[in-house]
Amino acid sequence: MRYALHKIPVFLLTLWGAITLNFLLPRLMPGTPSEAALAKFAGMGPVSPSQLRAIQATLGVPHGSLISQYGQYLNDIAHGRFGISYTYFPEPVSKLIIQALPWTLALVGTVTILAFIIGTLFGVLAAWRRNKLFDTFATVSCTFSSAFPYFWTGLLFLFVFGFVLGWFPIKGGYGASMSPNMSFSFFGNAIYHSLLPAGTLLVSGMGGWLLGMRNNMIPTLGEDYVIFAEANGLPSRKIALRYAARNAILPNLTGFGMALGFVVSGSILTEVVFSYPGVGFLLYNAVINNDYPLMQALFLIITITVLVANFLVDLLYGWLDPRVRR
Amino acid sequence: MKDSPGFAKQIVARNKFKNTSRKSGTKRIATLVAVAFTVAACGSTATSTVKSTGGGSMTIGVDNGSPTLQKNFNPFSSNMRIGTTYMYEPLEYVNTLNGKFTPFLATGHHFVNNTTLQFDIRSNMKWSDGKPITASDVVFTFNLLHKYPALDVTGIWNHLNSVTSSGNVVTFHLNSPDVPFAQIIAQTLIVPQHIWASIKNPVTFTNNNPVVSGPYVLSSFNPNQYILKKNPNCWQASHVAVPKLIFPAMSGGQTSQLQLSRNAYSWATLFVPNIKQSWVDKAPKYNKYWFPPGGSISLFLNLAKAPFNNLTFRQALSDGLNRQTIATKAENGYVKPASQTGLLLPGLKKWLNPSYPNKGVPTYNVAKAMKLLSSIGYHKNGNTLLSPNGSPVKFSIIVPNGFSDWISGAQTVGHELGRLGISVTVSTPQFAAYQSQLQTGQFQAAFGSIGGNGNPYLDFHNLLASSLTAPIGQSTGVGTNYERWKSTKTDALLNQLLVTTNPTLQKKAVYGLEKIMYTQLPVLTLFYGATWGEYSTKSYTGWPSAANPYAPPAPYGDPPIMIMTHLHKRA
Repeated sequence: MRYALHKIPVFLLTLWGAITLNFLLPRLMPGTPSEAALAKFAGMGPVSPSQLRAIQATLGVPHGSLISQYGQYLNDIAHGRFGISYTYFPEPVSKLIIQALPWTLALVGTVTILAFIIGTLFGVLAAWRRNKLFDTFATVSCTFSSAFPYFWTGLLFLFVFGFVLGWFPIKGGYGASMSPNMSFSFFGNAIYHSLLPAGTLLVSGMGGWLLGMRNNMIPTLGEDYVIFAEANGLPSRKIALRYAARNAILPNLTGFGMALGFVVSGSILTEVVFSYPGVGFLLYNAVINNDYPLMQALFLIITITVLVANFLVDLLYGWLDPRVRR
Repeated sequence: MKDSPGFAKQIVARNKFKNTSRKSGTKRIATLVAVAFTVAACGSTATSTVKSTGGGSMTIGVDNGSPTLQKNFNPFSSNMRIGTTYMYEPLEYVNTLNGKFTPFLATGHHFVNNTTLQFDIRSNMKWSDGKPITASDVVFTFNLLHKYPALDVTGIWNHLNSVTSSGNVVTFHLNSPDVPFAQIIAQTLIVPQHIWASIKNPVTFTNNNPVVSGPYVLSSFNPNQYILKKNPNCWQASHVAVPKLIFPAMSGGQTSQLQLSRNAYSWATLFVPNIKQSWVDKAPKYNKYWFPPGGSISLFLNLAKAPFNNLTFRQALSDGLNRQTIATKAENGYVKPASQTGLLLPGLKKWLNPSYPNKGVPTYNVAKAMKLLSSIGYHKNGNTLLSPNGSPVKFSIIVPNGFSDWISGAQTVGHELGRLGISVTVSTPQFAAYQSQLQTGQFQAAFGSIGGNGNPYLDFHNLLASSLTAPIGQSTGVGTNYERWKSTKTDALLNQLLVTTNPTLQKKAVYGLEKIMYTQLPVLTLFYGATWGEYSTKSYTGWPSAANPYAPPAPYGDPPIMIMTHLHKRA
């Protein structure tokens, strides 16, 4: 308990720092939101003076000094007000995030957990049977798959399975003639649309866990207590999972905490490649359009989730590894 | 440049990854991706998830989702769905290729004097809910824009003093003589008073059930696709041949180009690297395209900075550019080199002073360029051009990130100027940063687009008016005179166009402005930026084309109402 109490002030200080950075960073970007909004018109031909004037009148930004904007910002956060998006004007930021979050949580969240479980278990297996056929195959293929950039794997999958073979839809979270609702046909359609992006994420994400787990586990298997357990005739599955893996998993668990926190940020590249209606796409759009309110709200949510996830992992650490409690 | 209208052009908003691409700047292509897809598309036998248009409906590839579509049919919102422009009508349609007016809600207009303008509103028209369309709807619309400046995207109330109606006649009282302003009034979309009068905040109003005057009404809306159907109450319903329009959410270059090559669209606005292979060859009998000029892509030189403030230096740069090579490399040979007169040809040919050789497209002449440079003290040391004070001549061109055609054009400019010994770097900031550098004058050279209004006054005014510029370090604000051209003679000529309705005097003033463009080189025009338009004549014919240029072939903006009332069912 004292261990947990110790962690709280650090947590709060980090949170304040993150919130403040979150305010400053978007404002350090070159250009203003109304200039970014012009990009849409520039694509359709030369921009006239009146268009810029009307956009500035619509967005009404930015106003006030940096200090007063900061005060306003803290006040709004305290009251849970995130304002209206510039990019998706006049949609409120909170509505956009609420619409996008379930898609990302379902896709990226599920895949992150699956990738961690599968990757870690395969890592244990590869270490236990090191230098056997499975280990060689798994290590080599994972080294490859985790070295490929996400979006590259995504484009490859999209092209091969979506376009050439035509097995999966190439874009979107659901079919063109559907609106989100609670019916089975909608869920089926949404799951069908998610298979390809999920496959991409799984292939790219699993390798890291597998390699990490395998490499942590191999030295652990040489520890005296493992040899002692073997000498005592304990079943190998018990030795592998209860003794060796429990100790070897600690670094992976830290990474998992981070990864879980980042789930809410979506997987920007994957979502953009597949036009998936999640938070990653929203974030991408917010950044390219200098959409301060949307960016701030998204960064805030991401920051808080990562901090909370890390805090929880810290606590979990204390339970898994008695040494850190001291 | 951007995403198809949206991410228009390729990945992004020329199709906005964003979106959307439309005009040339719009091609935002992740080049690699686009190329990969295009190549791949050629041999594919995959079945499409999108069916070709059939049963009389038409699928239009123009509206970019981000990635889904937000419902917004407010015709004054910068975020409106493109379909809005198929539903609301202006007083008159103005063809931005040649400036020709076609009556819509008004039957015509005339100047009572040069500050008083009258439009005659057509009688016996109905809104889509059956209520009559009257002159008071027109007055109401203009007053709405007055009350809410955020809706006034064309800056009407900077010119307008008041608007009144009497019977079928609407009278506009202008602040000062402003003849070209008739076009801006004519192009304003008119909304029904009985609906909009009770809207509390028209700026944030998303108009989910649009009541309209035009050819189409909203039929259904989903986040990935919406459908418009024919409006039986439209005053010219008998001219509307297509019963149903389908707008799928586009997702940028990657998939849009694939879809185009699968004949998924009957009408689209995409930049594709090889139009013949990826569109025409898919149905050679029906798949047509037309890419008329929508602007002149130009090299803006910062005239407030040396050495660009020196006319001889600018002249040398101009002579050192092979515009044909630049146009071919940037736009895959789809467009022609631009006339240095600033006019978009052939659309505005009636304004062109016939005395310019080659219609005002400058001749490429490196020897002459070198001679001009040495006449002002520049000389070459090996492959490097040295300025009179002995330092090497180099500058950088800014081009918005993702505008792949412009970037390739700027690189070619750099290559061409390399022959003069000038070292050019191309820098590609994000659009907002690019825009900000233009406004504050913190650039040496930049790529930009000029013209495209169909009206020489508006084109030259936006580019050259002293009132639209600012000293370096200060923002031009809403001004677009980024090159910082200041000339009392130019302003006098522009003013002449404001006050006169006499065609001879108008022509004389335009000739004067052409001469300034041609001899003083405030910007170097390079090549025409295309309005991309791919369409299928399989079910419907009567599309605009070079032979019948009644509108640009754009499925967004003003042209749709014109085009949708000119198509016929294939016999």
